[in-house]
Amino acid sequence: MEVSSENFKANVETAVVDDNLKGAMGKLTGALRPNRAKAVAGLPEFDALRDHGIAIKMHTLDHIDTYLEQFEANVVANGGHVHWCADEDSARQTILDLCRQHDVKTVTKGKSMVTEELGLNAFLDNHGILPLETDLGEYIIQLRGESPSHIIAPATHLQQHQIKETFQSAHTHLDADRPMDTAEALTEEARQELREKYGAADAGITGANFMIAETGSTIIVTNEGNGDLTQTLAKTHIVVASMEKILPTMDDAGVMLRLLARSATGQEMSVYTTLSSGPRRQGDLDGPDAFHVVIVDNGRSKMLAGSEREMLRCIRCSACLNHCPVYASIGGHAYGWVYSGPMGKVLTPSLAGLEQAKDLPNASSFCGKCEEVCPMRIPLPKLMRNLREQQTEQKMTPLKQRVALSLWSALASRPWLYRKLTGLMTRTLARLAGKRRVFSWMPMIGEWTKSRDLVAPEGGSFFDRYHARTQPIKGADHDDRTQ
Amino acid sequence: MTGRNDRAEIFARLKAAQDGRLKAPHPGGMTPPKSAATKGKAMVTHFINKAIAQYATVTELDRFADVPGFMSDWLRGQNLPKEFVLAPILSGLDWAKETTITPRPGAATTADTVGVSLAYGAAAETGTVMMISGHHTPTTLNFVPDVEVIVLSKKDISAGMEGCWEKLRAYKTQNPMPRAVNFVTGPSRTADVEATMVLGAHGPRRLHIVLVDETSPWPKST
Repeated sequence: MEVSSENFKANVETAVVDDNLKGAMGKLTGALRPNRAKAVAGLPEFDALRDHGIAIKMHTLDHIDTYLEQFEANVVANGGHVHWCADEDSARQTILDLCRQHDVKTVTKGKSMVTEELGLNAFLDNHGILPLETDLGEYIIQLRGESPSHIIAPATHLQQHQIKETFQSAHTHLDADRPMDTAEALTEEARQELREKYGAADAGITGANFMIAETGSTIIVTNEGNGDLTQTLAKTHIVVASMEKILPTMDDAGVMLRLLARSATGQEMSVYTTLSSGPRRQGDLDGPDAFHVVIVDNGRSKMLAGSEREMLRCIRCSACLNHCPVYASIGGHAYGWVYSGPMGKVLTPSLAGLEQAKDLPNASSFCGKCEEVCPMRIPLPKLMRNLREQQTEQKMTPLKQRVALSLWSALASRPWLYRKLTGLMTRTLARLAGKRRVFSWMPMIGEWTKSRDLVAPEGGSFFDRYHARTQPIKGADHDDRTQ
Repeated sequence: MTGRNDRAEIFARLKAAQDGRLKAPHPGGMTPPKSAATKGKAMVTHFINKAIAQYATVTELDRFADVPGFMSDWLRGQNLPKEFVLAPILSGLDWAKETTITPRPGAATTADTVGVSLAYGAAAETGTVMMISGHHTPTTLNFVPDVEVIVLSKKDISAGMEGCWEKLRAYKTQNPMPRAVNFVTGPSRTADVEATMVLGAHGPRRLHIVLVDETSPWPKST
């Protein structure tokens, strides 16, 4: 998918005044935040479980080459095939070649963020292969020609009336007066539209939440059942997975599954968790005839070697999105690429390039909620700070900002000067504010004072007060310069 | 030949990224959370409560021989069609004595309203059943029919997923890894329209679990 993160500021301007978006985001966070809190409260071992999960991930990343090799050997032993793709061009071409090899004209798809990363649907379409998204949210946005705005709730930016309008214009063969005013009616309509499509598809393409080295299995976790219909009823099953999804054993997957659903939707377990291990066996009455796993690097090995390594622990639960005040205000599309919210602010610069996404790591108040709710305790604010540092080092930030920062740094590393200057400023501001003790306008922060008053400083600084309290100690040296 | 073969390039990069790093040890396995009941009747009750909390319905029977009679009564009571698709592993039960119902052993198609299959294991912690693919129990039974009936022996319930993995490993010593292993927790659902939960998205609208006291009819080798 094309990166449009350089338009972040303009996207935000549009997003914050979009009433449909505001309404939709309120419903998402209103449902998912309390759900997660309840699920976590219901499992006293949740924090211990997180630590266990993190230890598994750190071990796996340290031995990722070994486990990927073991995975490959077991997929082959199960009768499947593994394909290795260094970048998105290679991955798209590999998938297209597989489709041609199996004479594929139509494809059903389960939800997969890595295929969004590859822009797979548009690519297949351009090469005469018809991809059909089957997850309800993905189906809706495919009809609208949009990209997902949330990694697990792709149509979360839409209100019900917008979905109704989309179905009205797409399903013209249905009675125009049919009931469409409930979530139930819309879900049922999509169910009926897609029901016969799974078996008619030549190939089913799914993603993978995890891959298990021990058994050569890929795992998908879903609630709707569309992913399973996709991979069971099509003649060929193609799994597309980014390489950090690998786990050593089935038990390791068990630990991650306990964390995933609770962090994502607040369920203890999603409805369907499926291990796929190869094609139909001799004597089987159903299942695909061929099984392919396309393993995609596309920037992961670079992250493994770099300072964003911890981000590879991400299990794509979306807890950081659901709890982020910035995401809740602007929705997912403003971020300009596949991944949004706090995880997107780190993943987009890491995978698509910092130059293309320079506003993203800066669009954070560092409230820290993302790290707090992350089941993998990924230090997202720290990683964003790293990226900001890289931007300054590589001179990507505006000159004005860099000059201001070096002045600040010069001041902050000389405490005596800092205190003298801030003391002077405090006293001046207090005097200027007069009786009202507030400023309704202030140069350089005009945008801020446009909608609120700035309270003038009162009294002394922390150090002034501290010194005043400790004054009675005789002979103590309070000269700042000696500290 | 499909695409470029980037295998060597990728592994060289991965190995380079690991160079000189201290490697973290594997933390080992874990026991199911203490909050879950782990043994006997309490564990079965825990399973039932969790399954019901996930919108499944549950019936308890003494013997596998009671399943055909139950199906006959239940289909009538629920006003469901008398024809249904049946996992071949259960076709050895005495269905002939139930003259009002017509089971069809095999895989499910979109024409089937009701499917009946047999679970291989279950996790009490979350009310989850574990299904394995194979000619005995086709995977389509778990996803295609509107109404999914799963028969489960109480003896196959474990405290958590760890017990299910153990059962799978034991199965693997006698058989190849099943093509598909499906963990099912309640009927299909979605919340993609305004975060409102709706049951019956693309998979089964209803899940009924029939719990049987007896040992299940799974052969050692399938």
